[in-house]
Amino acid sequence: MKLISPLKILLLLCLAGCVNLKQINDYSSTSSAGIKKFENIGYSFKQHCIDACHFEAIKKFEIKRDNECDCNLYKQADSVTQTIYNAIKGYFDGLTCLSNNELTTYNLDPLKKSLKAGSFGNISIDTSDVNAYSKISKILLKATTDLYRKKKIKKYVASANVPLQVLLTKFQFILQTNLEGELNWKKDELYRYYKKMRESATLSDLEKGQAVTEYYRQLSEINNRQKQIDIFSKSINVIAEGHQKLYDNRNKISAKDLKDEITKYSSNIKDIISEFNKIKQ
Amino acid sequence: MENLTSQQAADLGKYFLEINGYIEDFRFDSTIPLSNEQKQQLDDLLDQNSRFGQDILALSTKLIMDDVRESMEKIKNITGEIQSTLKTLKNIQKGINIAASVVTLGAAIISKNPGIITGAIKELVNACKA
Repeated sequence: MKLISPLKILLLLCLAGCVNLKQINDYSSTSSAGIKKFENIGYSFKQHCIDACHFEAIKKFEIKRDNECDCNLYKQADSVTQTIYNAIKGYFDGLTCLSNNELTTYNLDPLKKSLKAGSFGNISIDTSDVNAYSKISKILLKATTDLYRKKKIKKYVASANVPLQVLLTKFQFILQTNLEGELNWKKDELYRYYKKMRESATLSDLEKGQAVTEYYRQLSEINNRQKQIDIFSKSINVIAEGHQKLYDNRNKISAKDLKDEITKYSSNIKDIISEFNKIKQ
Repeated sequence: MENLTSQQAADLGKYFLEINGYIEDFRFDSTIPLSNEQKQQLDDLLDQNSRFGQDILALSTKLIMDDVRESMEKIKNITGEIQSTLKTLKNIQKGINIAASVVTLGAAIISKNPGIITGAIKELVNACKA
């Protein structure tokens, strides 16, 4: 009976720790999933360069090999983008693992098996003793390791916030300003090409109609791609805000208000991922 | 070019696109009739601007590396620390498995049965290697 009250307290401590790390785990795993949508954008600086090179060749009726296109600068741009992406992804993957409650759910069965009931020299062990000690050990271990995890998460969120915000801002800049900017140039190239084609006296009305149709088809593809990037950038914003909220409230990691706020960010990110997935290419 | 910041390069790209738009309006929609030679000159200028505008956006991205170098190092270090913490927490399970094997070995030694002792030693070695 004397063991019951301390056991109840330990259970409550453990539960309190578990619930709040779950919200952080939801946020970090959703952020991780959101960031990884970058791999579904399906466009890069190098791709843009090759497309532009091919388009030039089409305008001049030339046949070129891919390696005749000078895309070195664009490959370097992709390399920078990928490096920043990997750093952000690595951080959120790590935070997801660390905040996963399964991480500190240890299997004490090996100990139970070796401490099975019987006599060991002058020591005799009961089955009920083995089970009781195993349960208490599991609770103590979980409470201790959960406190350790919470402390570590608080420390990592604190140190990571400033550099992470920088990386997220620059990542968004690369995609929304520069990569979308390249797509605006692609639209401009198409505009000029088809405008010139319409001036031609040798094309029939049917051919001109077909050219105009093709122009709008290609324009629609580019607009879709830009919409994808815009939606992805929206998710980067929400991820950044969520981490800032976590940072601002890192000393109140057990508070209900933080739990509710973080849940809202996770939910927003999931909605944006859903919106992203709906865009067909 | 190398002294530009990434933001300045991106801004230049945007201005060139705008300028191209005005030149295109003149080229295609002007009420003043243009000779074929004039049209070709404008087309060549537009092509040049277009190449420059696209290249400068790629350069702007490349230049961002200078802006993020320090932040990148910090995030990489923190991610490395997280991996160490994860290893520590995962090693607890390894510790439990090793402890269990040690207890089994202890019981085997007390039993004074060589066959059981050998088996228990093997189990402990496997737990340490895992």
